Amino acid sequence: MEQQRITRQQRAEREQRRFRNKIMSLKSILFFGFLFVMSFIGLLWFARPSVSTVEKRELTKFPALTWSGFWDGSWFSEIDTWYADTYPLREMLISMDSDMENLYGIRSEQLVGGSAQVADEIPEGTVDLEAMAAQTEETTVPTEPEDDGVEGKGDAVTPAETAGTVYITENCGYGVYYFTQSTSAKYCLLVNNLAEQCKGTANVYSLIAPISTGIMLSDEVREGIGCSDENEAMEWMYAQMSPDVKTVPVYHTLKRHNDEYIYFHTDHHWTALGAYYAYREFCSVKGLVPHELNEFETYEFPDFLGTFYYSSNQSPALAQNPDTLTAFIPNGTNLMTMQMANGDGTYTEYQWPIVNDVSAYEKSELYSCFAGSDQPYNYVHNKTIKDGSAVLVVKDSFANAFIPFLIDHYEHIYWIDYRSYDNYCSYAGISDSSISALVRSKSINDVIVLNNINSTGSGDFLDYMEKLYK
Amino acid sequence: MVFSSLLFVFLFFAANIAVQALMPDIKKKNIVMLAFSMVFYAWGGVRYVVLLLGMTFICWASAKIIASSKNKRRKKLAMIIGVTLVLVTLGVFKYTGFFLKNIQLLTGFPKVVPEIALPIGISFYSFQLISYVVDVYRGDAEAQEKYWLLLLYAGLFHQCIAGPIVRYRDVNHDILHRQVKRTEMSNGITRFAVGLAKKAVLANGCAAVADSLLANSAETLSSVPVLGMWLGVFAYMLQIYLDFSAYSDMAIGMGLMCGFHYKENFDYPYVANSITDFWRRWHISLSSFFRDYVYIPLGGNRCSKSRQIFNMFVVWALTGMWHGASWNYIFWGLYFFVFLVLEKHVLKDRLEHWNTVLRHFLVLLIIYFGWVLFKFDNLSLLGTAFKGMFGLNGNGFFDHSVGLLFKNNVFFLIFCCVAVTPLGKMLGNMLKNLGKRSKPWMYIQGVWEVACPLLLMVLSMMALAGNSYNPFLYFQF
Repeated sequence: MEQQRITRQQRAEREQRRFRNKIMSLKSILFFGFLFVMSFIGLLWFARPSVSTVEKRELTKFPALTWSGFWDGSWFSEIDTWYADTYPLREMLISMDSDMENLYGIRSEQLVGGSAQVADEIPEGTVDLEAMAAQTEETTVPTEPEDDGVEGKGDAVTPAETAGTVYITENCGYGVYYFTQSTSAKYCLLVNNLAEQCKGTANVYSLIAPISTGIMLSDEVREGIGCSDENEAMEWMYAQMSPDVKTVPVYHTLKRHNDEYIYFHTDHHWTALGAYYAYREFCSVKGLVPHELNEFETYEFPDFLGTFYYSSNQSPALAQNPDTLTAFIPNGTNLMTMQMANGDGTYTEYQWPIVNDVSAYEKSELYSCFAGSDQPYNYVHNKTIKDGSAVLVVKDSFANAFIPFLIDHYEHIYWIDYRSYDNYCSYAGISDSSISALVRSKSINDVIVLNNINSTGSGDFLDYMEKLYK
Repeated sequence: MVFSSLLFVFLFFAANIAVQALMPDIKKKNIVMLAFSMVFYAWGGVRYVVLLLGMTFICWASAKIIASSKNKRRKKLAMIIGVTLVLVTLGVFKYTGFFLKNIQLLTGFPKVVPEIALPIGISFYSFQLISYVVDVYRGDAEAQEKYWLLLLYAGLFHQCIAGPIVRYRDVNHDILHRQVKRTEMSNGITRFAVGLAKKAVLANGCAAVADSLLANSAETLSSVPVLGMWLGVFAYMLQIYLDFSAYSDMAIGMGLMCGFHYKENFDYPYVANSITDFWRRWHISLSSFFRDYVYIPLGGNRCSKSRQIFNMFVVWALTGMWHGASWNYIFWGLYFFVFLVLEKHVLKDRLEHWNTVLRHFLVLLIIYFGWVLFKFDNLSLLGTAFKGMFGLNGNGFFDHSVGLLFKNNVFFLIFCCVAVTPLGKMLGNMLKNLGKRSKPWMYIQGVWEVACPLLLMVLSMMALAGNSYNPFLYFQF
């Protein structure tokens, strides 16, 4: 009996041991199998992407070997970045990571990325702009986050705007605007200088586009996430502009319409409808009769997932709430001439639709349907008007949705992106890249300076503007 | 190269395992390990390999002289020269800038303080080499005849850049005779996967919370509300343990996978019930180094009370300094010195009678404030941080964004709090015991054992890919 029990126990133990050994072997096989399969995928150099369409940038290239990089180790750390940045499964892994991080807490409302910045107080009344702008060196908080050595596509073509922190609530993204005294003062100075130079030749209009945060959220929520009061900032900036600048106040108009679809949920731009209300405001300052919306034919592009979606590392909350982009096609003509950057410092001229059918584009690229996206120099000849009238828009990407509405009011419509126009001029052999030179050579009547409010505070962008406003 | 990168895991480590497995004998395995370790170390800059080779050579030669010489004084001289040369090299690279900056503050001279880059891992491998020379001198270890095998000990990529500080006598046997056992391989796999996930998922996640609150600019830092500061330091406290112990986990795991046995370096320090206990559990290989090579030689406990306190002072000032060439680290070491003296010489046994919960809470609070000292090597920022924690920056108590950050990460932070306790290990052991008793549990345990490391690897890969690119940098419209 005793012996029987021992043998039964021994048998059980032996069985257990055998099972454990099997488990351990299986564990090693699966673990190393996984490791080697992933290594193999990493070795498939031809499967490594060179561009990320969702992140809108060129991925890191394999670094060139230099003696100093080899000696101090920087060459090796660039290889590290390259390996991870172009790993074939990367975008899928990031998206899975986002889904996992969604479980980290209650994320119906969240602030993604960007460490806390501090906004300056918005001053009252007029100030000495020169003195305030001169504080730049000491007080400006850099608006560009630190460089991680990854080259953005924007470096080669159009320097990129940054999204910084994204606030997400009720499946909609919002940017955060930090007012900075020195840069805002400098912006006003630049616009004033331009007006001075164009005096007697062209009217200068300033249109600062608010971002959705100030328009769509209550003051309480806006303050809670540390975003400056856009209305107050815009009013202050407009008050600093000289009487020669015709300011276009759009804040209250947009605020009145904030129950409509005037800003995207997943992208930091306004919709064409938002731009349309701004256009009406411009018409009233300029004294034009605006067109009604039903006078336009439209395109509709569903399932747009814009910049907020990618800057929040593909937030599942935003993925649930994709945008539908509606574009209004101008009546006069839908054909423009644009100089498109090839990315290597050269440009090619294209005939392109002003409002383009982008239904075959990536879902992240739909905003590029407007005005050829951000090309340095663009021109439209509207042959239905024969009065010689000419307008120039100096702009960032918020103007892209605005420009199609302007087409029907001028014979000649020009627009330049101040972030890349100077480079284009050097390529095209235009010795004077100033806006005033362009105004004189094209007999421009109206110059519209259109930027979103974040661009008015970005030190780097102001440096670009400075080159053209001389 | 860091362990927590796709390149390391899927190229370097995979290749290392594969090539090593193909080698027929221990000599060839060692050659492979050395070659991989040199490539690994060169990844931080080829110039530093020269330094590693040189320092190892000094210690190899000095140990050889010690071993071959019969004369006691000669032995001692060889030991002193070897150790001094290593310490001087470490001092030049690590402390010159700090030393000159302080002299400059006092005297205005020199005008320019040279910027000397710190060679990666020098603090770890120089201590390993010192322990080797001293152990040979003391007769606790035999001198290694072959230079390249000593280089393998000092530069072994498992522990060369982030510890643990391995003693030569503990791995000598493994270098010459290691064998991989199935159980150890299996434990090593789990340990490595746990370490990688701890770093890539947990530590990096905590870092994201801490960094968004504890900014490195005085202007931003002073505007963070009180609760934000406390949350930031809390996340930092979790981060620093998870990060540091993850590296040790990965080192121990990789070691087991190829037959090396490294001692434990962390033993759940946040469950400590006294500061003395904390230091028995935190970075064990460093504290035992200072105990064996500084504290005891100075007289340790076997001397007068005042001498004992002096010995402790030296050890804790050095411990602080070892962590970095800046006053805050020294303050951090001495901060613990104060509490240790208090525990050892003032409170003594009375501590035993305190309420356990209260005692544990106090210990954690002391450690918590310690991490504030540790975090800011700029003393004016450190002051701002302390003021901010008590609302003295006019920074308010709470704001919406701090509330959001907390809400967005609340489950994650709770999970991290559990992860720093032995609960996970206890559950694992419980499952193992259940598996021994009943068949269904045996199968459940088996599946868990196989699936767990794989799951952790996938999670780590996701997190590493997510960290590989900072989406807030570039926007092209």
